[in-house]
Amino acid sequence: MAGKIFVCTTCNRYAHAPPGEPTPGQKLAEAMIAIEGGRRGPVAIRTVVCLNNCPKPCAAALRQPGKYVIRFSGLSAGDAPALLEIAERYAASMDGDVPLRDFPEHLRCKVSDRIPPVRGVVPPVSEHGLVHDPVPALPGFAP
Amino acid sequence: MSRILISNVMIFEGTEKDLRPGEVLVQGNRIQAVAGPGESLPREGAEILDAGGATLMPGMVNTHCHLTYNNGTTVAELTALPVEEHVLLTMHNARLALDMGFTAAIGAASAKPRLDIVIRNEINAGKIPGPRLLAGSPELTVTGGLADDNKYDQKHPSISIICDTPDEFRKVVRTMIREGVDLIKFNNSGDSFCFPRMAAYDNPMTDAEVAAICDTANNIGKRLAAHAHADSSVRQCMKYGVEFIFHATFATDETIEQLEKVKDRHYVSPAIAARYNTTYEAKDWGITTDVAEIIGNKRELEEGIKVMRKMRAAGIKVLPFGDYGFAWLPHGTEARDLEHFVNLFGYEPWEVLRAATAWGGEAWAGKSGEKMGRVQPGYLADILLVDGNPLYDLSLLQDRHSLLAIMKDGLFHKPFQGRATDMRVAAE
Repeated sequence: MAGKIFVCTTCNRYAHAPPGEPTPGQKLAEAMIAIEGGRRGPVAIRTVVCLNNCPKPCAAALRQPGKYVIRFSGLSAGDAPALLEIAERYAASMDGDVPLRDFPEHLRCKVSDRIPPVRGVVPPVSEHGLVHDPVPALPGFAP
Repeated sequence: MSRILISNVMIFEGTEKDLRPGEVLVQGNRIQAVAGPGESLPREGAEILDAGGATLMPGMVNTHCHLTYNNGTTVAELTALPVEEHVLLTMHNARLALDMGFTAAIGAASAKPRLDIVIRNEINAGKIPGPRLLAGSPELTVTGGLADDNKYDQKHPSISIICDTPDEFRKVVRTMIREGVDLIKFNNSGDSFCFPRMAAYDNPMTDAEVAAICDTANNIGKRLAAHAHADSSVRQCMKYGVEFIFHATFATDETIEQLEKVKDRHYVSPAIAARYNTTYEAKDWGITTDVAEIIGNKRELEEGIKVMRKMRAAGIKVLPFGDYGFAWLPHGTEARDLEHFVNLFGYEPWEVLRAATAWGGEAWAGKSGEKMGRVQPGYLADILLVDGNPLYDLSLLQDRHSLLAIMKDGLFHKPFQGRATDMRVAAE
């Protein structure tokens, strides 16, 4: 089942990691990448500079066109499996409004925002936002 | 002169709806040739780079860029920053912009008079990494306008230069041109960011003041940008020749109709993230959605969405990015604007990328005759290699690990190291 999740690798912006050490956000992202077997596993992991939850690191977000935006704060590397689970449920949902009861229990208190989609805009192509990126298999070009 | 042949790529030309397979020859700092399906370019004397099917696209252009902003929460933080630290901060932001695939930028206002200028000069001299930069002036404003933070008996330094007569504006414009700016920026509307003093739909500048700014700048060929939320602000921009119309939030249908007639002379930059993120993602800094509604920011978002949808339908060139550099829309996250254009305005992904590349390059070049923003022979070799198809998933461009290579002026800022999909998360 496909999905996508954004993870902030700057977290914690206000407490710099010692030089050469990964940030807590990087550790969270790496934990998720390890479970998925790569950045382009069943759930794609997009590592970004910021998700605007800086006072409550670490942060992740689920965003797809036409769907609720679900944002998480106060995360740690241990939340990786739960985040990947909810990312799949989110991707499978019609509008991203996954009921809290369907979240892994310990993740429910880490939901910082549920932002409804802007009405009146139909995503141009329903597949947009999905992870799998089938580069066309044309002669002479590697996938 | 160096010759690099980038083969095995899917090309986003800059204006086309689909990717097409091909290869690209870069010679010196220009694209020399582009081959399509079934075609092949001469390889003699060229370094061959097999991109493994990656997408090759023009570098992105941020046409509303504040490299001097410090990811802070207030203007007071910016003005309190000593100039020495501010130069370094701007330099780091310039590097980050290039790291995130922005090979060119238009300075939309500098927080201190010479910051954009000196950073532009250092970039042009090849001494520091950064996008090609058009240096912006500080915001020119009037007493009580946006970025005048003084009170009757208290002077508060700000990021603006305050003038109140046409002659004062003429002098400041000439002063900034003397210092070396490429673009003059002025505030002919308020904003929710200065609530309750001057609303976004209010315009505190007279025609005579705007005319003085524009005549002085246009007379010597300098570019112009205006913080123009209000309808009358947009009309002033059209009347006096302001190329870059920022925000245009409250443009009426009549104004949009007028703008459509002169759409080849103007670019609109809504900088919608400043509205969306402030409304929905700033609560950790005390700006809840309710507060955003009270100060008028939510209304700016809703009206801006309506207006940009109409402008898209009218074929007006609306450009993404803009106003990043605050705590809840920090530097390094600009590519999220591409999502906003799809989700909020209904753009197709190829349209957004066209705006981010071909239109952005055209805007940057202006009347200079320079060719930027497309993968075509003769164009500047500002190129990205992307690990995937951004027309299918624009979010790729938000993740620096998806940017497999970044070339600016024919030189690699980030060399290509293969399409590894399991690279460890790099240190920031």
